[in-house]
Amino acid sequence: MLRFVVRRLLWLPIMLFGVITLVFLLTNITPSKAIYIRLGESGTAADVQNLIERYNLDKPILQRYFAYMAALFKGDLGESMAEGRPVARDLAEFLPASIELVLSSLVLIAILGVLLGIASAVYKNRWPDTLARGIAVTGLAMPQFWLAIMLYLLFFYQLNLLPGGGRISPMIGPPRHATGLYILDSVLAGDWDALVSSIRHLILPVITLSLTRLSTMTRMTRTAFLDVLSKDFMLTHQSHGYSRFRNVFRYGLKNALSPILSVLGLLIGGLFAGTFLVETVFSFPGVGYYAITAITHSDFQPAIASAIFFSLLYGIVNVLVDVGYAALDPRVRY
Amino acid sequence: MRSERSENEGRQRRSRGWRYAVYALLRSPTALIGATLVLVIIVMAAFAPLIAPYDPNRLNMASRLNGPSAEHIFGTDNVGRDLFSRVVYGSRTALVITFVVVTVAGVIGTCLGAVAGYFGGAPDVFLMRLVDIFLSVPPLLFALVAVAALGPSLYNMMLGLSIGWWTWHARIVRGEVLRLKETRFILAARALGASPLRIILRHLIPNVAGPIIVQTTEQSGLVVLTAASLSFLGLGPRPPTPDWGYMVAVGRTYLPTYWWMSTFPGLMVVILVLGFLLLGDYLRDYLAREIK
Amino acid sequence: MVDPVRLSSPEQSRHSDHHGVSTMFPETSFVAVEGLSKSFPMRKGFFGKPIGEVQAVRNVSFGIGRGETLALMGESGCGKTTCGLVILRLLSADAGHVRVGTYDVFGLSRREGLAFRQDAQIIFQDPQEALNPRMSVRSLILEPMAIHGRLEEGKQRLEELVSRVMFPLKYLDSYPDELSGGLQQRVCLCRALILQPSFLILDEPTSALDVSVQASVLDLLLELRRELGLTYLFVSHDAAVVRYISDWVGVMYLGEIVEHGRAEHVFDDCQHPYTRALYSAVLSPESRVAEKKILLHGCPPSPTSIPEGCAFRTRCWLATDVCERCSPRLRQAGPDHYVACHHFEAARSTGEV
Repeated sequence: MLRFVVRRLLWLPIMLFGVITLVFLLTNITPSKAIYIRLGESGTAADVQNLIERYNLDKPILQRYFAYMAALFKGDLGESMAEGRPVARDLAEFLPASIELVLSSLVLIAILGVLLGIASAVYKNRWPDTLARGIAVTGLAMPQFWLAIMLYLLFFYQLNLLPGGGRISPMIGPPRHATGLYILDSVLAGDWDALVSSIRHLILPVITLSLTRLSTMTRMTRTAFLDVLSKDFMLTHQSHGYSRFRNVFRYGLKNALSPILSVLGLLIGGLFAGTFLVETVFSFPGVGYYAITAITHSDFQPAIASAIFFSLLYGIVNVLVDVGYAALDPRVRY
Repeated sequence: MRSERSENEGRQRRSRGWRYAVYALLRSPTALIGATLVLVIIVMAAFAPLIAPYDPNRLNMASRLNGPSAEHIFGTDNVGRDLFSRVVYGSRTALVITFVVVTVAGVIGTCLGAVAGYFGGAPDVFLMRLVDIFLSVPPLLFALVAVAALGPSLYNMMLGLSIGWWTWHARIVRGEVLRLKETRFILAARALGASPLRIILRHLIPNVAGPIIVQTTEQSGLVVLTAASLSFLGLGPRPPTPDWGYMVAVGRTYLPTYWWMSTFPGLMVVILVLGFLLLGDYLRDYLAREIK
Repeated sequence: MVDPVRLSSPEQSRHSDHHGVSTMFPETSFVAVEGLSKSFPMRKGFFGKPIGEVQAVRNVSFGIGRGETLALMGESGCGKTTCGLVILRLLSADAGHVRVGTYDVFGLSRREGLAFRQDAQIIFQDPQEALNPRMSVRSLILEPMAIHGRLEEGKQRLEELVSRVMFPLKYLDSYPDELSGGLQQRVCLCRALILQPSFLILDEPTSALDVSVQASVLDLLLELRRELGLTYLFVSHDAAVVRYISDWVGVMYLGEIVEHGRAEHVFDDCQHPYTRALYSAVLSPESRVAEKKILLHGCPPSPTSIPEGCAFRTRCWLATDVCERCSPRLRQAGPDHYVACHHFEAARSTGEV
């Protein structure tokens, strides 16, 4: 067992290396627009030359590769060419926003998905089932960016209920910095306004992210519950007089828990991937937004750093899920 | 002989074949809706010149940014092109992308998966490592980086997506092949002297066809989604090729007043993807019943 | 019929003195198996470190005369099926020689191996599993001919062959899962016979069939053997079936042959304690063995840890020290009758636990 885990973990650096090299090559093939973005219209030729030298853009690609890798080993993630700020610091700033987004979505998916799944299972093939599955599959079919826009149009433009972007109202400002998670920080600081504002800003992005992933959770819960509901011990309970409701929740949930957890694990990776689009549309300052900007500007340092982050995340989550499966089912190990 | 015959009659199961499949399909609301949606888009693509009232690339600055009206069902875009016509032609782009990506990824994935599964040993391990690498990157990121590097275009996007998707097929096919490898009829084929190539082509793949078809249909939906996302980010086909994702992106800068430019193309994406997903769902259920 | 490749002269197939049984199968035997062994390693851990092995077949030797049927009989897991698979080269063997006709089975080149496949075939236990569900009966039966480039010939002979096994022609274009078990097995038979082999291994061909159909299939097998001059290796756990169809019997226990001889001797006058226990469980009015049921104590040992000496000693009521020290070899107990037991003479009189 230990060998299995170690082996899976050992794979990560190799994979990481592959990803880094790949992203580096890809972002450095085409000349970068990043420095021009930085300088805007006011840059002189001398400024351009300065930056070129600073970032080694005139050197051959192989040399730049080694230079970058050398710096990477020392833990230096480099600077964003477009902004001029160190990547590490930027990442640290943007990360909490994404974490907050993903966690909230995870919670929403868990709750909503499980509820819908249970409804589906209990009322199998009747209207709640069809409705739940309909919602789930329609959510899945919607492109996140489009859903985001639609929600924006509806709630912001038409109804003016929720803010259209950003993370917190600029007039209120972020709460005192502790974890970087605004909700948590607001609670800790007792800053009521910030709390409300953060939540309001989170609603639309979270809904967008969640709705599209609901399907997996609903389906999984439904299957797990159907399986459990048909088991004999449930019938025994019913014959003993337990109410059906209690049955479903207490015993059904306990048994369905493990597949639900594994789905959640799998979802994390997908949710982070979803941050790319959702953050972009809502101008939500998270890692996804950071990554997209970097990639479209061929700004390779932030791009690679983001790629590292996502790959690492994906990789670790996959390992954890695999380890979880292997722990439960010894046949899986190979 | 008489007893044989009556025993045989009793065992007669429902006949296989296309007719039954279509019959079952027509009886399932899920399948019907799904199939209809997809068919609508296909018809739209096939008969685009007949359906679209205007030339999708015809600029008309005079009537730009008009809302939905009698002349322009979906309104016009920022350079006066009829949105409905563009949407109709956009279906061609979407379907071409889907078809190419799914076919390429499917063929590559199936071949590699079948070979790895059947032969096992070194090629199998190597392939699985390869699949792990590819899978450890979210497909969107993959295609994104690929396209960002090679330059946005239709072909590059299809290339990027194919690279991202073959791994799913490979994994599933390999799993199925591993399962089938131990069945008796494969052993019987070996006993008859069949070569590995024949076994893979004639025995394994037809029996894996079911899951492959289900996978393909479901993935078509995801491919459309991802392609739309990529185009939205500007990494897809360049104008003037009509592409739904890109249209939504363009429309975004004109929000919220000129809402139709983003709404309708996105709606088409939903329709197509929903169609594929429903069909895929139905096929998966059908397959599960067939096995029983 | 394809010209068998002459690879080894009859003299070369004279085996060494395993179990002292050179008398058991003279060179005239059509099929000669000698010293066959096969084990499956059990692996654990990522690097596939072997932690033990399942010894499926241990030093098995027997011969089958042309046109005769030898049955390998025993409980599930005694190695009889593995034996059959190894003989046909569907599994690799760890040790031993097999000669079928003039084929030196383990020494065949690829091309010769293909020829061998036309000459030796196998019928499996579960006919439904052995047939590709996506192929019609017609394609299934013709497939072997297609593989060996004799398709035209196959098409011509198809109907005649199919009628001979009493398979209704109207089902030729049906699919396996539309047929009953008996019909499916007939399809397997056709598929095996269309190549006109001379040797057929039958691995529990009737076990998966309804009892009412079993008899008809067995009769068909007997008839075909007679008509086509086939040689059978019949594998089964069912003593009644074995008795019905075989000329010779080899009783297997944990990978070894413990009793071997002509069917009438082994059935009516069984000597090995295991065989006697086996038969006491079968209701057989013809048997002369004591009607009292013999109950073996203990569980069958796991094939991964086979007891030293005589493998049966842990459950045998005749076991003594010598059984633990020394593995018994097959000794003659009568004409065409061999037993591997130290005490079988003593067992002649008793039949109790």
